[in-house]
Amino acid sequence: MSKGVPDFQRRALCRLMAFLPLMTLAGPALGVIQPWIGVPSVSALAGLVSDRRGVRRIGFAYLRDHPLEADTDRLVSGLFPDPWACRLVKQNHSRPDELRRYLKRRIREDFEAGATVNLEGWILSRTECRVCALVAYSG
Amino acid sequence: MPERIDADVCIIGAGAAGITAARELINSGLEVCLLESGGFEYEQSIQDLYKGVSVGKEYPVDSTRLRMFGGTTNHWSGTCRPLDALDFEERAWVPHSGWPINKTHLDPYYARAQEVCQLGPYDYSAGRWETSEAKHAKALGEGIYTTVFQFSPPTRFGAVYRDELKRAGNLRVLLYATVLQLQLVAGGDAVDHVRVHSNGGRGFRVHAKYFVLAAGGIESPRLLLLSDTIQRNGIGNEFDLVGRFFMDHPILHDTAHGMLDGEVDLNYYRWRRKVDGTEVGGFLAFRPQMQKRGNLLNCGLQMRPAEAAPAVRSMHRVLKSLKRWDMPDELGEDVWTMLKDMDDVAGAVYRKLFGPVLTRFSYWAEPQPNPDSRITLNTERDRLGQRKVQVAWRTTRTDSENLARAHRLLAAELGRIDLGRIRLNFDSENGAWPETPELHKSNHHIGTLRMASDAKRGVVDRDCRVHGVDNLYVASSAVFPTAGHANPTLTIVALAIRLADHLQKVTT
Repeated sequence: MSKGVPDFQRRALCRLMAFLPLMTLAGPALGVIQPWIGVPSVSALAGLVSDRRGVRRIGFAYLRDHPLEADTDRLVSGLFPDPWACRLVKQNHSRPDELRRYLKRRIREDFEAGATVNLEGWILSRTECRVCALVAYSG
Repeated sequence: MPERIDADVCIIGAGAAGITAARELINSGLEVCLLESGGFEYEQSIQDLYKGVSVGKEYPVDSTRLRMFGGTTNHWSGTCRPLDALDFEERAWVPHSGWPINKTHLDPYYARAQEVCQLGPYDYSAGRWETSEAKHAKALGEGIYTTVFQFSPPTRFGAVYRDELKRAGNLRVLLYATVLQLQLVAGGDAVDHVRVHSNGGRGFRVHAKYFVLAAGGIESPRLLLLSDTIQRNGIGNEFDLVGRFFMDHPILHDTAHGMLDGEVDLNYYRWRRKVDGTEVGGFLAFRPQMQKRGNLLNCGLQMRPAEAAPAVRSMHRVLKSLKRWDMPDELGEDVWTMLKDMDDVAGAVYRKLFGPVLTRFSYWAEPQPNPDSRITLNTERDRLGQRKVQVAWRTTRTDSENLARAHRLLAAELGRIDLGRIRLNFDSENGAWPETPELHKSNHHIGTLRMASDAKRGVVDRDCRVHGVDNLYVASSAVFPTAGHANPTLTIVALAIRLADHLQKVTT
């Protein structure tokens, strides 16, 4: 183990942390996966991220360790498990503030509840990983 | 040297505890005799009397202690901090925890100990040690807080206090005076005298009204076990507790890396920085409610900057120059270095814009009291014919699991408040000590004559008097029932001051 932060992980996480403030826009982008939401495509969202490479790496790593979640429907329902959350996505794709708050709250709740993932040593919120996994699917 | 010396108080051992107790008794009206096995300088033949046997986890029995005037303060690091209030409490998740005294009771003695160790004011709160260039992380959430160590110069007790002790009219310091045994009266309820070996060959005895065993956490139980002419299992050992619960603080470095919010000022967490003439070092610790919620042994986490790749250093140089509106001469070289590794630069740009701070963590922790971790006597003998000490340092599953538990709690708390993310550098699933990073000892010898009100649970009572022996006291980290995560010297000195005050009360 080198004394510096491991390269893959550090660079990837830099990008995740760049992505995090923007990932709350992921809700609208999920339209390409669930047409009934009727919102912009994931590729449009992905274009907001300066470099998706690292975020996708995290997403693929998550899916490798959690193969049962290698399914976009499952990822989406994991992110938005209840009808209220789905309505929120529908209603707020053009006003992301409430959606952003929702996802931030989910992340905080993940850490409070221990719903975290050990991804090659990095302790991340499951919500963060699922968003990365969805971006990974975006190609 | 006469065959017999008489005193009011005989102190065995001139380390931090013994010298402190002796100093406090200067001008007390009591005649004090301070016995030290070594001389003013290190001598191998004397040091060899510390040689022993290690079983269990490998433990350096002799090299971590110094058998000379001033004792182990002749090579200590000077790191000081009081124990936390929770360390004194009985905690349901820490078997064998609980002191018969609390922190509030010890606070006045800690304050006096600060001066003895040549430290700053008795204040370990984070805010006290802030400067304009070093701010502690305030937004740490409810579970984690910043606190500090203070660093003694370090005080070499022998060198610093030698002249003062020499000048004291009521104090007699005898060097090369190795105590072989404490001899009880026939009834076994008091010490009559100690038998002493002198380098000159002739031994002698010291008779005193009170005896203070201040020989350290390994030698003190050894002496009690060797003193078996009346109590066959050794003095104070009716319930087989002498030597048990041997504790040392485990330390591991680079246990994790972190990417933290740019608001975190790592300057504050530099290991030694001077504030108002006092050297301090900031670190993170867990609040009592977090320890309780997480079933956590008390522990500390030091943050240091993680190494940056060359391209990042180049970026920093360029940006610094641009800020001053001048261009570095080697700008061309810097640009080339940056181009070679855009990922690193992108990371640095991100950090500049959004500010994550790269850190690495070291971890040290309170050891779980373990009765099977113990000091006993080996069959091998030293050159004076005394059975050597045998050290069986044993940690528990709780100790190794605490490493992962603490880091998961750190990650959860920092994630919860969105202050950053943590990467563990060890396998956190199997619960054993990792092979890397390597487990280190702190060379603190704690717990072997633990304090308890009930003689069935401890060797000394709340006054540090050996149960069942009216005039025998212990001044040492040996009496700590639990060790906290703080280095023990400040607490050793505080307890020695307290003991000296007690002796003055009982003798008047």
